[in-house]
Amino acid sequence: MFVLNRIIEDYESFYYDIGRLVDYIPSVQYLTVHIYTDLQNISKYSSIKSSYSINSNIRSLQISTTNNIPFNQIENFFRNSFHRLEILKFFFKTDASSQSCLDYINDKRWEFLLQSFLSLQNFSCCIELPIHSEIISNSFEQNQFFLKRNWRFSTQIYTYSFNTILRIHTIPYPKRRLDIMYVISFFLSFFFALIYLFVF
Amino acid sequence: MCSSPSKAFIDDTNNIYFRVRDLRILIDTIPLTILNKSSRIIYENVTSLTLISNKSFNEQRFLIYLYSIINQNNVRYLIIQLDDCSKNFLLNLIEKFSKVYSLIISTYHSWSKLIELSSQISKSNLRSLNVYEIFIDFNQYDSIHQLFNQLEIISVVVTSIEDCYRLLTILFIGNQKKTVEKLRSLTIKCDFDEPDAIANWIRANILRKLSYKCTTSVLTIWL
Repeated sequence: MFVLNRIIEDYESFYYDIGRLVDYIPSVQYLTVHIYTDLQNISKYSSIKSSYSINSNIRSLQISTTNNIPFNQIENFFRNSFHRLEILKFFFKTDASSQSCLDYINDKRWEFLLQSFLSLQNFSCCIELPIHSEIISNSFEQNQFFLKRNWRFSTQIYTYSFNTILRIHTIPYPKRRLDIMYVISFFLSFFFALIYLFVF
Repeated sequence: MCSSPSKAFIDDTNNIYFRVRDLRILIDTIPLTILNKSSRIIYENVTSLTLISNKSFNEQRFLIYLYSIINQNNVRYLIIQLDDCSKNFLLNLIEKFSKVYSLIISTYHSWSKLIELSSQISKSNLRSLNVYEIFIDFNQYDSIHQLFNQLEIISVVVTSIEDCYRLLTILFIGNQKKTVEKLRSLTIKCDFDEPDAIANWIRANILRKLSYKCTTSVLTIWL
């Protein structure tokens, strides 16, 4: 088991670190990564080569991040690097509202990504981000790909620091830490959904 | 429109939070309607509980709710970050979470409340105490001694080097032959202009065998 806990300057160095790690310890099978990135570097390094590839034997991977790494980079990185993955845990939490972070709660994107891991047996995630509507979140619970594998999801909406935060996670709740806060009622969520429909 | 989101507090799904060990509750964000609902134990395996509130709240109602959702037997670490709370609220927590080993507290008049509860705390399992509020009242020697005597780890904030000497005197020089016996680690935070002066004072006044390190902001002692 290996835990990589380093503040990285950009995604390129992150991929480089993982690549070096796998080169030095090719037999590593269990990897836990905490990504803390300087947000100012996101636009600078937004075009990571899709061909960037790490051929690893990692069977179990846990990634935690609080930075809004563009989801397409997550997709490319996973697809090209972890062909033998059996267990994937993915934790993402942000207070920064942005359109791009909504990609993280797109069930179809996750479906296509997870389909590429032919050996994947166990998937758990917890994603927390500011939202304006709960519409997208519930699509996970109805997605046939997840239903067939009995990967079930729970969603909560709470208010924190003037933000409306969506928490979506697999069941059981996969993290050791939990913050419990005021959960917005169904009617208020419905109100947000109506606003979303009319505005967008 | 899809189904409503499940509720974080009362969820019909059985035991989905059994992996949670570190639970933080932002009390003042919870509406009364939630607090008034009875519940079953949701958080079975929590070992670290943090209570946070920037406003006053109905303590009795919250305690009833808290004890209904959390298994008290596994909690070892209690962190209190409250704008204010009563002495009885603290006492209730200490008595109900009887296996708590470590208390970190930041609240209004926390030292005076803790000293008033020294008798009850001395009978508890508490061994580590970290108080954010400044320690200024050195007068109630017996109660202070009773509070500190069973502790193994203490973290204290004082405002002056004189108060640092007073605290060290209470702990290691004592009064009427009473000193703390179980202490293993002491951290005193203060703006120390001359750390060397403290080192000299310790060497000159404390006979007990101990190791120490002093910087301009903190004195750490190991026994």
